[in-house]
Parts: sequence; structure tokens; C-alpha cells
Amino acid sequence: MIISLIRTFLLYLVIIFAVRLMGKRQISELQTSELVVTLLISDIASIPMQNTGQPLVSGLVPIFMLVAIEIILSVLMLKSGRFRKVICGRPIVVINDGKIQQNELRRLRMTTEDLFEDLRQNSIVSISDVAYAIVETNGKLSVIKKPGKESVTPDMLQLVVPDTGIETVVISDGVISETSAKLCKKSVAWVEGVLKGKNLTADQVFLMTANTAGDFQIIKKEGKTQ
Amino acid sequence: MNRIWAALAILVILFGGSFWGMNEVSRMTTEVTEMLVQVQDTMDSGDTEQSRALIQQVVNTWHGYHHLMSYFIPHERLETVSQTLSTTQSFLKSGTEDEARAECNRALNQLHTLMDTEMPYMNNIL
Repeated sequence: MIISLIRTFLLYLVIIFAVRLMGKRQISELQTSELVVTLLISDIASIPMQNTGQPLVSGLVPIFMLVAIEIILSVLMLKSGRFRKVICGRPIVVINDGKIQQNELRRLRMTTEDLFEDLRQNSIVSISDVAYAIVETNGKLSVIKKPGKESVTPDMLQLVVPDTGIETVVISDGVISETSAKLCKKSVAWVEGVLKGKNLTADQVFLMTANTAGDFQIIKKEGKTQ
Repeated sequence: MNRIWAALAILVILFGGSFWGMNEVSRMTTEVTEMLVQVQDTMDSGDTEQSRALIQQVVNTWHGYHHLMSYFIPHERLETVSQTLSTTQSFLKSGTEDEARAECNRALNQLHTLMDTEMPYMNNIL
């Protein structure tokens, strides 16, 4: 039993390392090859975890082999569009200029219910609002609304919106984050200056956010907002 | 680009390790096989004492190799060889040579299969 325990811990570490090595793409939307690798890794890892008569190496070798193949494939896909098309396929337009492409739906084995479900998930309630709908290579549906159905943006109204930059959490539970402060182009000294102006110390602050423009919000540990 | 180098390094380590493992299995099984053939020869010549000494040597050698091979070969396959070798030794100690000879042949077959299954032959791959 202790062997299973140790092996589970080791394999956990190995899989974390493997997923980190494969990159951030692996933990968001999965392409075909990524889905295959993820499924295989989880399956392979469980064998030496449960069967102590199986050497741990027999699980590690295929995992690392898959990681290496996945990285090499992703680099090849980056270099060659044709190769990417072979591995991932190509996006398919299912609504073109407001018209449902029935042949493409049939080819994708996608029912109208599936299409409407995906549209609703994209906050579309009527098909007449859609100009184009594309099934991407990762299986997600991208929707482009008809120009008249788009939400009004400040640009459309020719309004000038002040750019406040990025807002970050500069103090979390009394701890000042230098990295977050730098991200919104502020320094620890600036944060401390703001706190001094409010007669506060960092320990008393539950949350402080700040943006590039210099706006900030402080929530004290007691829960009072300033 | 660092990732591609890491991937290539992993491939080199995996292929290197796999070839090393394959060669080691081949070397170890061949050595134990040769020792078992010697045991058979001594049994055929009627030198029971010598065959007992040799089988002890085989068991000891296999014990060391078993430990190393258990890192990369399923333990069950290795244990069947260990069991057959111990049985051969017991039969030789008790003087039942015919059974000992049969067990020795079984051990030779198991070693041959063990080596065969670790080789990258087409029948193993497909």
C-alpha cells in the first residue's frame, strides 16, 4: 500500500511537470492532439499507480514520450499551416451570411439543437442576429453578429473613454505584492504612501486594488470600504 | 524554443535509456542462459555436486539481475523465472535429476521469452 502511496505522489509531480512543459494551451481549450495526449497521460499514469507489480518506469516512459511528441508536433504546427490542418483540421463555417450551411452541419454530425445550444451559450437568442458562425478546430462555436445587432460601443458613438490601464490587487490580506504593483506601473513606496495618507498600515488592509491611472480602492480587514 | 530543446533532450534520454535497458536484458539473460546450459551439461555428465554448485551460482546471479531488471520489467515475468530456478535447485538438492532437467529447460524457455519480449521485433510492436 505504501508503494501505491509513494507512486501516486511521484506520478502527481511528474504529471504536473509534464503539463507545465506542454504549456498553457494544455490547460485551456484542447486541440485534437492535445486532447489525445491528455486522455492518454491520465490513463497511462493510473496503471503503475494501482499495479505495484508494474515498474514505475513503464508509466513514466510513455508519459514523457507523449510530452515530447506533443511539443514537437505543436512546434511543427506553428511552422507549417498544412501540417496544422492535417492534425487539427480547419474551422468550418456553419452559418454563412445569415444562412445555415446544412451540408456543413451534416458533415460535422451537428444537429440544429446543438447549433442553437452553442448560439445560446454565445448569448444569441435569434438566428436572425447571426451573420457568421464558425466551428473552430477546438470544437468551440465563434459567432459574428450582423452589424445592426452588435452592442453599441463607445467608438460607435464617437465617445472618448479615459484609459485607466490595468487594475491589480496590490495588497491581499495585509501582504503587499510588488509584482502586482509593478504591473499597474506603481511601486511599493506608492502603495505605502497611499496607506499613510489614509492612516493605515498594510496589516490593516484586507484588499487594495490600484490601476495605472492611480485610482485605488481599499477594503479594511474589518470590511469597511473607503 | 526552450521547450523544443527539452523535448529533444527527453527523446534522447528515453531512446538512450530504452536501448540501454534492451542491451542489459539481452546481456543478463544470455549470461544466465549460458550458466544454465552448463548446469545441464554437468547433469548429463553425472556430476551432481558440480551441478548443485553451478545452480547455486545461477540463483545468486539471477537474484542480482532480478533486482536491476525489476526497475523496467513487470515483476511477474521475473518472478516466474526466479520460481523455476528455485525449483530446479530444490530438485537437484533432493537428487531428482529428471525433474531438475525439466525445470532447467523451463527456465531456459522463460529466459528466452523474457529476452524476446523486450526486443523491438515487429511481433512485439504490433
